[in-house]
Amino acid sequence: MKGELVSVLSDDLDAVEAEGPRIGDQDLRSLYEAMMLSRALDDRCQNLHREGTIGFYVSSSGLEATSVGAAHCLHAEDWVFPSYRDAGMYLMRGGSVQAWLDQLYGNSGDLLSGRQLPSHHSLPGGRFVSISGTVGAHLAQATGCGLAMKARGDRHAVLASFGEAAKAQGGFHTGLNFAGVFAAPVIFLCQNRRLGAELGEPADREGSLAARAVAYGFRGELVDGTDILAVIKVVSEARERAVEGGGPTLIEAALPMHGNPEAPVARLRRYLELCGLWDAAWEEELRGRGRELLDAAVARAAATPQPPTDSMIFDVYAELPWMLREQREVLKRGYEPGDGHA
Amino acid sequence: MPELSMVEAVNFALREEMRRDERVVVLGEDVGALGGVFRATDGLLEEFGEDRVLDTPLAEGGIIGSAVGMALYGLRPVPEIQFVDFVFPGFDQIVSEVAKYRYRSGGQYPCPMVIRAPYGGGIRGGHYHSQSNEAYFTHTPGLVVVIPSTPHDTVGLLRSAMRSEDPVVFMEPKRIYRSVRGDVPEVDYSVPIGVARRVREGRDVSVFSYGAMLHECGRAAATAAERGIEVDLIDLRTLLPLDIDAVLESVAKTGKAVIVQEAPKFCGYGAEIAAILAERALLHLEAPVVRVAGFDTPFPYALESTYLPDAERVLAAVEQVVNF
Repeated sequence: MKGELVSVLSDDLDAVEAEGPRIGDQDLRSLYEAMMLSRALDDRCQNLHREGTIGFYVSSSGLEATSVGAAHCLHAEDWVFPSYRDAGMYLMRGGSVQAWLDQLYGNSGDLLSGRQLPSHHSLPGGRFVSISGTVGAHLAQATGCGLAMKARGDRHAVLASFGEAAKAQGGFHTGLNFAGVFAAPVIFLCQNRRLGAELGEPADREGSLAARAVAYGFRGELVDGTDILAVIKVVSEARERAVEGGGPTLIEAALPMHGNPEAPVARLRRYLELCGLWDAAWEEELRGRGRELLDAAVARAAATPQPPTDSMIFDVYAELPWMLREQREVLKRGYEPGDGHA
Repeated sequence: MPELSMVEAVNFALREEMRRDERVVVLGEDVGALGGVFRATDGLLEEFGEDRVLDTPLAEGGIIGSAVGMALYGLRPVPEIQFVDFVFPGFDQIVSEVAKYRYRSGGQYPCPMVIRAPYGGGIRGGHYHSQSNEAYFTHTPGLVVVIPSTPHDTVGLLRSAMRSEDPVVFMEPKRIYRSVRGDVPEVDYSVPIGVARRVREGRDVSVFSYGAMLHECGRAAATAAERGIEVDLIDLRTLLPLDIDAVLESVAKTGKAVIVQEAPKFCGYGAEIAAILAERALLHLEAPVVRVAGFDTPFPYALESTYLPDAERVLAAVEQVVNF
């Protein structure tokens, strides 16, 4: 089964206006700025990884429309269960370039105290939860968060983002099955980068995701993942459905496996240009501002020292049990003969 | 308050805490309409409604995973794993998610919950309804592991667990769910996590145990007393974090230690107690530490009474170390 591909952006401005979501000129430009910054940040991080400065990195290149577009639809009280390719979402949820880089460096400025492998960020204020290394583990968690909202009578929604690999995991099934059974207010967004040359044509034998949603008893959508207006259209409709008690939605954002990673940004640029909202000078200004911001943030992240040694033993529990109190003392003064017991 | 059985104590503590704290929610297989296969959650659905008592599909990963999302949002979920033998489909959520969230987020996302699970043999349940797998959890930093042995402690410890900021694996000895009864005060008392209980004072030998095995140890200690051996019987109650002071003080007094668990012996919880005694109490020890445990086999069905430690085996170990 193959879903109907939702797309909006084209050179026909009347058609875009008729079918697309209502977004003001200033918001359109802000979305473009966010995509540009997300891309610039990702490019820089890929370079840091290639040159060996950071030990691990997962790129979000080509996912700017889905990541930024989906986050644009959320309200501040909504929650995000992200994947590790959601740099755009991180920035949209209030994360700073500096905090992003500090996490990659695992330095003492890192909000996570250097505890996680690079690219496993989290943000408390942004309701952007900690990213797991187990693919798909967060989908049932997103459902539980939505159930908690329901239990408390809060009219918020949860966005769970994942890549195409997660759809083979048990966590995908349990997360979506529970969401369907309890009509949880969750938007499941799969950023599928393994589609064939034609959008919406699965490259593997696992088949269409939108069709699976039917089996779980809720709505499935297939959207052009390089088209930010189409993403905003389906995600905002899904959010509306969620908070109105209409249950979850599964959205498969199609991203061609061998497609041009510039496509998401270039397509919005083309649209802005047609609308008279883009010019080369502004583009240059954005690029320059991004470069400066990144140069400063990278320099600062590199100069920030490691977390203090004894920070290792905190946040295991709310309070230190005796084992960790003993081990903290050892860490503070260094190992000495007779410490074997600690 | 009349006497309660162990399982009635679970039900009582859940109900009282759900009345007191509207963040507490219960979820699991058949916990709602049926009231739980052991009736631990009987009547909760009627009183608190289906937003707070969720009959879930059969998927332990989904039960624990959902509880994670609830906990992050600020609820106090109490997921039930019907038998701890079935925890493994949810094991990744417990060890990789529940136990790690606070740490891996630098303290941004605590994940407090109480994972209730009946455990243990002696009910003719075969190895999918009889295991005592506490050591998997006690080997996981970030988890608290609690095993009560009396109705009083079940209520007091379950209260503490539901009020804890840390995730607690709360293992209930189902073999004594109904056979062990006791007084439960009507006042809102709690039993602190991390504090052991001296069940019986003695100067000759320390016996450390927990859960259903504690009662076998009690019987063994009574018989030992008739033979002139005074057992210092300690109910550990919390396995992680262990009340190390209670262990060391007891052995400093007796110089002899027996550890009783129904789990397989090799790398079981008793090994940690034995190692701590070797590291910190060697000069007090007057005899080798002895562990009484299940066999290093999967839990057997037909021969479960042979497999499980009982008062007789505990008594033999007590006499062995005393006569060393």
